[in-house]
This record gives sequence, structure tokens and C-alpha cells, in this order.
Amino acid sequence: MSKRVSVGRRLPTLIIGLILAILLAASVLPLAGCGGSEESGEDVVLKVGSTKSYKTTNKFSDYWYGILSGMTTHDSLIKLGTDMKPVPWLATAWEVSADSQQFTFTIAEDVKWHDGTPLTPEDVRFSIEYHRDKVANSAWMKDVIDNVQVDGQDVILNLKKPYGNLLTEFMTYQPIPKHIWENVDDPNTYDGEDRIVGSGPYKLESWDETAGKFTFVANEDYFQGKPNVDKLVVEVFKNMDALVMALSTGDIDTWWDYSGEFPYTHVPALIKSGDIEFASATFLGVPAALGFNFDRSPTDQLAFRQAVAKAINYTEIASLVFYSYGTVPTYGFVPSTHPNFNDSIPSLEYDTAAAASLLDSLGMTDSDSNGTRESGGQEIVLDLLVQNTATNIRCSELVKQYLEAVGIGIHIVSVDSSTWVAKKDAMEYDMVFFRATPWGTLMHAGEGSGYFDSRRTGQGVLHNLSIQEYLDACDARLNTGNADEQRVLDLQLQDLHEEYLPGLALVWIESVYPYREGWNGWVIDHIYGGVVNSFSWSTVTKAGN
Amino acid sequence: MKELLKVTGLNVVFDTPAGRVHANRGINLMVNENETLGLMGESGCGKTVLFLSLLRLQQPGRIVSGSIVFDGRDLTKLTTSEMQQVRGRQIALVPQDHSTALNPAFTVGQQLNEALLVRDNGGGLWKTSLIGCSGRGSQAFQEEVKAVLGELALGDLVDTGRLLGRYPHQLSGGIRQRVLIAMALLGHPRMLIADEPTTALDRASRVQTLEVLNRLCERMTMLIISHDLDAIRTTCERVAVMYGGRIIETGPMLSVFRNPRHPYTRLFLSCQKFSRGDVLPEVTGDVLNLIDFPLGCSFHPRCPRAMPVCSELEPAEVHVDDTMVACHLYATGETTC
Amino acid sequence: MERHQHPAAAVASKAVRYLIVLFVIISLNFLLPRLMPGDPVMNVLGEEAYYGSPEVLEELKAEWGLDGPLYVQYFRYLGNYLKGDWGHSFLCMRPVSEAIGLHLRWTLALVLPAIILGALLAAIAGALAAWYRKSKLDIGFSATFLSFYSMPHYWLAMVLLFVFGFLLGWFPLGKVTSGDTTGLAYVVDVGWHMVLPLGLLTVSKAAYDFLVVRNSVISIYGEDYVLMAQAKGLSQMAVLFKHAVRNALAPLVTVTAIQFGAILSGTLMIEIVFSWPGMGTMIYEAIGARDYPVLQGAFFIIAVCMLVANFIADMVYVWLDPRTR
Repeated sequence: MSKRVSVGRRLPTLIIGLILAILLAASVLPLAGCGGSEESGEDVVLKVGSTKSYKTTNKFSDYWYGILSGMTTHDSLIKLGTDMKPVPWLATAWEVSADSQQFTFTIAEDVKWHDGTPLTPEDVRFSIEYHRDKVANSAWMKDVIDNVQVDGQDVILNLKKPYGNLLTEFMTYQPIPKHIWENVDDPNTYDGEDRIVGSGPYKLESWDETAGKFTFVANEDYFQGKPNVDKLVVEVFKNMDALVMALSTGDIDTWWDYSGEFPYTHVPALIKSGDIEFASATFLGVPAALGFNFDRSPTDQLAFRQAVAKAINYTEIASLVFYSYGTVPTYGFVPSTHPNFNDSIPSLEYDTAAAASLLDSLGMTDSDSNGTRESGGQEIVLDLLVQNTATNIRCSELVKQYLEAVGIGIHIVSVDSSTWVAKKDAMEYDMVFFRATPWGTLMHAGEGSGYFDSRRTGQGVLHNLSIQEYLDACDARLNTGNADEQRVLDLQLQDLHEEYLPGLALVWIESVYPYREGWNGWVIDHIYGGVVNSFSWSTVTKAGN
Repeated sequence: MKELLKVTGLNVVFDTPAGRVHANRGINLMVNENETLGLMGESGCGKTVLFLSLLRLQQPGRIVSGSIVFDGRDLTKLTTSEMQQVRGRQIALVPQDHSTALNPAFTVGQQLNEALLVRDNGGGLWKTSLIGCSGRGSQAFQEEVKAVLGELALGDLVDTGRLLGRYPHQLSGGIRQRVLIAMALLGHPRMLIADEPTTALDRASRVQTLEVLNRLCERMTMLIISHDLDAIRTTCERVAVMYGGRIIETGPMLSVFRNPRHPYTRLFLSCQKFSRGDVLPEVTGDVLNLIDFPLGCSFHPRCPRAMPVCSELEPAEVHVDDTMVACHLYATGETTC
Repeated sequence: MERHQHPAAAVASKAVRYLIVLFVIISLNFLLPRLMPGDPVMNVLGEEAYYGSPEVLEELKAEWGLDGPLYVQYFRYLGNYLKGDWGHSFLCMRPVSEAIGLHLRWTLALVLPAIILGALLAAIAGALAAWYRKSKLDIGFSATFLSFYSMPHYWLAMVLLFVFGFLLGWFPLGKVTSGDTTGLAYVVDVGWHMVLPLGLLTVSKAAYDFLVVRNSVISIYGEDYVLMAQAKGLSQMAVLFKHAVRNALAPLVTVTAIQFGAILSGTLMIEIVFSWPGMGTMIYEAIGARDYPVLQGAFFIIAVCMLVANFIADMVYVWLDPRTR
């Protein structure tokens, strides 16, 4: 009998052998496939990894390509410098009238579109009107811009009303060639191959959607001079872990994400691998913030909001959720790198005794000693609306703990992003978790006012503060283009944040930006996500090239 | 006469959760060349295990001792692949239940062709799968099948070509039974084991099958397992009777039928006579439990002529005239067990 | 009952049933996403759409077919579907059929071989394990497949990527191609990128099917025709793979047909880990953005694939078991 078994096992052994052989053969394949991938010539190639979802190369319909193209193929009139002041770009100079109703941009000469056609002030005029009339997310221009005139190299915008934030707004708009777009009625669906033509430092050579790969080549005729990096490759990954592995193996050189944070959890491993260096900068936005519903009780009471502010252990959040890359914010909401930061505003403080006495003073006491305070006989249990990302959940669990410790019951409502937007707009919450992007804090009247002004609408904004004093300050700030007046109003807005507490920054963070050893001369951009930005193209160098 | 098969002291056991089942206990059996042996016994007596052991297909049972010498070779000592050469080509099997013994997924032609391929090329997976799965096969195959079917009196009854394209479920029981016989014959075996060849058939098919068997036993060695006494009577030269995993009586057919020596044989034959061999009648008493043997003769609890010694000693096989009997009635005093 | 039907009638009745199923799916498709929370117009145009006036929003609604009462939307929708116009994807900014075509292609490129290889692997391993039941081979196979079955796929995917992609560097860190090859080199490149996800999907499918096949073969083990095949002198492997497995395949076919739909859309985690542009990620993103047209198109195409898989399974049954003819 034993023989039957032994002979019968021969085949399984054979099959296992066969599988092994196939595996082995497969493992040799890459060697064959990899043979020719050595970099050829002296070209400086920069490979950037991204985890964003790119769909098309239409900058109007694809949000992420739109941002990418703003750094590569297209130029804006002015850009936000690293010192948070506007710097000239396509516009070599600009002028704002005293009443902030007329903006004049002087357009650089000798700028050419990628197809060789000269970029003229007329192109700029056309572009502004085109955005105003045809591009849905630029519809605000209809309310603001009356007409656009060309005078020599000057483009003059006449506004219907004063608009002090126009310069900031225009940092995100890039002129497009009139000869390509003038007959395109719906920019979102235009699929002509020339839709990628811009004037920027890079030309888009190819976009391979299945491979998830953009290839940009340097624009030899760029008006600011050919960029240092000859070839820019953007590799798209669907998950951060694979991207970090690619960074570690050298498949990519750095990482880019607009207003995203590089996950701190990956930092130690990369430091250990040795070939990766990190640049860092204070994140201009607020990665985790708590907003209050002014239409509901008790969050409509200032003392209650102040009690909440005192109940939260900011240091612990900074260290537990943000791996000690976080710092304790002030009552003014926006971080210290902001233009016109108000340094007279005190830091938030974790003081449960003060929180308790504030709640007591509101008549909220735990009369039945069950750990939760009551107000008018009702237990205080508040809905905390949270978008279900890992950081948010972790952070909100902590906040729940802190608030329950002072006797405020919390019910976490964790939902996906679309539901979050719907519930937030319907004001179906007592408190809400949100984040402010760098650009978001600059929008509207600046200093994060875009998130709180009750007249605003938008996916990420709370529009919860309707106090006339605040609205007036916003309007005043919007109406002035004068830097000194702007400064006063900026400081005032931050004061008002402290005074009314529409939202609480839970943490400010230091963002880190990894890049491969050997690359030097990066410019760190607070807005566009670290080392990968328009300023770096002319400064970054690769050792050995 | 030459001995073709000689089984000596064959013990087969099954290990079950309930305990060890002694399915065959010291089987001694011999079949001569060109002879037909009938093997009788009630269900559970170990007949099936015995003939499966001859093909070494008794798994999960194990042959623990004894020898099966076929044509001079001890089958218990062959390797698996050597044993494969024996199956089908030396010893072929005609199974009892024609309705389940043919693979429902293949046509008759494919299954017959397979038997032929096994005979000519061996039973490997590639050789029997890659070539000749069409079912129609070569001209030579067609001729050979036709000849065999002719011998089975099917040549005129059915169109060979159509038959080969049919699936088993499309055929009648009688035809399936003869297809199974044809499949066995295509291997050109030296010995045919027919397990209850007439049991699962209607009357007409039974008569035809008996005719076929009759003709076959003229020219080849056969082992017919049956309780159909008619079948045994018309085909067999010698018979063996099994009870409790042992052969308790063996001898020339006429001698045993006319003058059964063992009390069990007597009882068995008388019961069969009344029922005309259609169904197995109950012999009084409980069917033997092959796990917990009674001491002594395994039949003694049911035996009408049991003696004190029967419950103490296992009877040895003794020659009585031209038969061999394992019963204390015929003991001469000396014992071998 | 069907056995006594005329073949044409059987096909016709099957076709009618499939059509009814399709109609129900299309109708459900229409309703389900609209019953979910979230405003599609806002999702399409993003945060900035809020700058737009109500008139602009109305215009956009009309453009995307989101205006008018529900029943008007429904009939317009039905008509468009019949015309083959599945709408325009808000999210992908292209016709739905185009967007789905791209993702479906890569999903099928992964799923079809995985299903076939997985079934094959399961059939071979399951049959061997059943045949040599309780041997070391059986225990080894069962333990291996059971542990694969109980491991979370995304975790296994991460481990594979880490070990074979990162540590050993044998395979790329995800994606479909390197993006700069053509012709034969492209095929080799895609094949190289496919090894890890395909291997994982194959094994995870095989892990489930293994148990199905093993049980099925064990139940066939005692059949007379298996014994008969042995008595004919066939080798163990011929008996096993020709006679036993053939009759044990029906449950495997059933399971495969059922799995097909799930595997088509349910490879999300694997797609994310391996940066694979498949249906799973597309559906996931579409759900997040409430991209109705894409969701509807995807569910429709999955339903069609399911029906096709069922149809093929029916055909395979008939081939496997002539008694059902």
C-alpha cells in the first residue's frame, strides 16, 4: 500500500515544481524588461510621485491636472512669493487704484505660447473674459469685473465694485491662448489636442492614463529662461505606501500634493533608508479644526464655545495625532506664517477647571451625577460631524474624550465627504470637524474668513458667522487694495476670531517634504505643496549633472 | 489444468472509527485456467472486498497478510504501476450496477475507446486524454468494437456508430450492461470478474446476459459473484461459498448444489430455491458483525446444528470428498487454526 | 422541466428572463443613486460652483439631465440607455461608455486570467487533496489555502508589494505599465506589472474554490464509475483528472459565475495597492462624487457581465453533464 502513495505523489511534486519554474521564469522577466531603462544622455530628469486622481489633460475639467498645469505648462500673471507677498510673473508690474476698482497689469514682452505664437495682452484680456463668461468656478468675476481693456502692454481691469482680494485671486488664474480657445464654447468638454498649450516652463509631452504617468519637457524658449530640470515625470500612484516604497527605491525623486500633508508615519522609515532628505515649512492651512453651529443651542453661546476651547488638550493632539509635528494654535485661527499674522492673540490653553467654571456659569451642571451636564433638564449631548478619514476620526475621538471629561456628551457622526458637505450645508450638526487648505485661508477676505463668513457658500466652508461686525470687516478688507489698510483689517479679523470663536484651530503643523539626496536648491512653497513648485524649476539642481 | 489464480491466507482489514473490520479472514481460493468459479454469499460476507482485493482496489481496506498469485506473480507485491498493467489487461471487472458504473460525462464510444487505449498505450493521463477522446476512434477501433458487440449479440440489435455517440443515460439497462462487458473484453483480459451480472436487470436482459456469459465462459477464465443460483448453475464449474469473511465451502458446482455440506450452504441454497434467485432472502438470525467476532465458528450463533465446540474453536478447512469445508461437523480431530 | 422543451424555446425563455433582469437593473440603477444623499450638481462642479448664480446651476442641471420631475428623468434615461448613450461622466469628464471601457479593460485583463488560473489551480490542488485525503499533501494544501483564504487581501497585497516589489525589487511597485514601451516590449511590460496582482487574485480565488473542489471530489470519490475507471487500468492521475474531476466541476462553475460579479467590482483594495486603473477604484471614486452616470453604467455593465457569466456557466453545465441536455 505504501507504494501506491509514493508513486501517486510524483505528480503533485511535478506540479509544484512547474509552479516554481513559472515563478522563477517570471522573476527573470523584469531583468529582460529593465535592460534598456538606463537614463540616456545628460538630461536632468525629475520624477515626482503623486497620489491624486487625474482623469484628463483638460485643465478646466480636471481639478488636479488644473493645479499641476498651473505649475508646469501655464503661467499666472502674478504668484504668491515665499514671503507671502505677490511676485511678478507674466505681469512684470501691476498697479491698484486708490479706490481698488481698477487693476492694471503690465504683461511681459517676448513671451511665447508653446506653439510659437506670441503671448499678447490681448490673450490676457481674452482669458479673463473667457474665465468670467465660460468657466463655472470663475463665475464670481461676473459680479466683480465690469470690463477689461488693453493699452499697449497693459491690461486694465475695471471693476463694478472695489475688490481688494483680486490680486490673490488672480494668482490661481492662468491665461490661455486666444487663438485656440476663442471658438470653444464649453471648456470642460473641449478635447482638442491643443488644449494643453500654455506658456509655462514645461510642455506636456505625454499623458498615459493607464500607466498613470505625465511626461513634461522643458520649454527651451521660456521667457524666464529654460528651467534646470529637462524632463519632469509625474508618476501617479493610488496609495501612499507604494509611493513611499518608490521613493525609497529611487523610482521617484520626490512627492507632490497640493495642500496635502506627507504622512508622518512614513518619515522614520525614510530617514532610516538614508537616501531621503526632508525640507519642511509651516503648513499655511489648518489641518484639523472644530466649527460651531450658531443656529443651535448651546453652541450659539460664546461662553460655551470658550469652555470647549479650554477643554481640549492641544499638546496631546499635536503629539498623538500629528506625531509631534504639531504646535498649539492661537485663538486667531490662521498660523504664524500668514501675512499680517496677529501675534498679540494668546495661545489656546488646556484648562479644564476654567472650562468647568464657564459651564457652571451657564447653569450647565451635572445634577444627576452621571458624568454629563444638563441644561434646562436636558442632558447635553452634541452631534460632532466628521468626515471619515483616519486623521479626522483619531482626532475627533480625542476631542470626544476631552469634552466628556468636562461633562459635555459627544455623539460622533462619521460620514463620507459628500454627505459631510450636505449635512454641513443643512446645518445639521452642533460641532463640525473641518480642515482649511492654505489657499482656503487666503480666500475671501483672508485669514480664514472664507470659512466663517455666513454669506459664503462652498464645499469646505462653514458659513456660520453672521455677526455684522465681522461681515463689515470682511467687506472692508475686500474693498481695499491698500496694503496698510489691509494689514489693519487682517489683524482685526483675527481678533474677531478670538472674540466670537466661530471655529477653533486644533493644531498647526510643520509640513515635511521628502526628496532624494543629491537634489539641491529647492524653493519651499507654502501654497503649492513643498519642494515641487514653479520657483524650484529655475533653482533646483541635481548633483553630478 | 493450470492454476491461474491462487489466493492463500488473504486477510483484509478496514480501520474504522468503530474499530477494526475483518472483511476477509484467511481466504484460500483457487481458479484454474478457463474455469468459471461462482462465488456466493449474503451481503456483507466479504465477497466484494475479496474481488476488489484481487484488483488491489479494496481501499481504504488493507491487505495485512496472504498472497494473491496470478499467473505466477504475487499481486500483493506489485508496485502501483505494475498493478495498473494487471487491471483491465489481465483481470477485468464487470461491475454490478450498470447504471452508475459508466461515467455520465463521456459517450459510450469515448469510454470503450479508453479501454482500448489503456490496452495499447497504458493508462497514463496524457495517453488516455490527449488522443482518442473523440469517441468514434479509428477504423480499427470501430471494427474491434463491432466484433465485440457482435459477440455480445448487440451487433444486430443496435447501430454501432450511433451507440458509440450515445451517453450512458440514453441507453437501456441491458445495453449498458453489455457495454460494460464489452469494455472489459476490449482489454483482452485473461480473467473476468463479473459482480452480480444479472441482479440489476429485467428478465429479458437477464436471459440475454446469461447467454452471453455462457458463451464467454467457454473461452476464458471467469469469477462470477452472484446469489442468482440460475446464473451460477448455467455458467460455473466450481463454486465457493463465503460467510463472515471466510470461504466456508468450495467444490464442484454440482457437488455443492446437490449435496451442500456446510449448514450455512444448505440454508443458503434452500432459501435461494424458494425465491428463485431474485432477491437475497434472509437467513434467520442477525447478519454477522465483522468487528466483534464470536469466538469459534462465526456462523455458530445462527447455525441449526451448532455444537459446543463451535463456539470455542474456529473450524479448519477439511476435504470432504471433492469439496473443501470449514465446519466442525466434518472435523477429523486435528485442527489447523 | 426544461429538458422536455424545444431547444429554441429554452433559449427564448432564457433570453426573456435575462431581458427582464436587465430592465429591472436599469430601473433600479436609475432610482438608487437618486435616493442617496448629496447633490450631484455641487459634486460635479466642486466648491467653486457656489460662486455661480441659481440660473447657472439650473442650466447645468438641464445639461446633465438632472432637471424636471423624476419620471421625466426616468424616461429620458431609459431612452438614452437604449440608444447606447450612457451619459457623460461628471468625474471623468468624458462619455461614460469611454470611461468604463478603459477601466473595464484593465479589470478584465486582471480578472479573467485570475478566474481561469484560480479555477485551474483550485481544481488541481483540490482534486489532489481530495484524492490523497488526510495525507500530508492534503493537510499542506488545505492549510495553505485556508490561511490564504483567511488573510485580508489588501494586507496580503501590501506584503507582496513590499517583499517582491520593494525588498527584492523583482516586480514594479504597482501600475499597469511603465508607460514608455510599445509592441512586444509593451506586452512583456504589462505582463511583468501583472504578476503580483494576478498572482494574488488567482490565489485568493483558488483559496475559496479549493475547498469547493475538494469537497466535491470527495463526494465523487466513492462513485462506481471512479472505481470502474481504476479497474480499467487507468493511472491514478487519469482516474482523478479525467473521470473524477470532470464530474466534480459543476459546483466550481457555479461558484465562479457567482464570484464573477463580485470580483469585477470588488478588487478595489487590490487596485488601490497596485495602482491598477480598474473598475473598483472608478466605482469608489464615483460613489464619493455621486457620479450617477458612471455608477449606473458600471452597475449595468457588471450586471451584463454577470448575465454573460451565468449564461456561460449554463453552457458549461451542459457540456459537463450531458444528462442535462
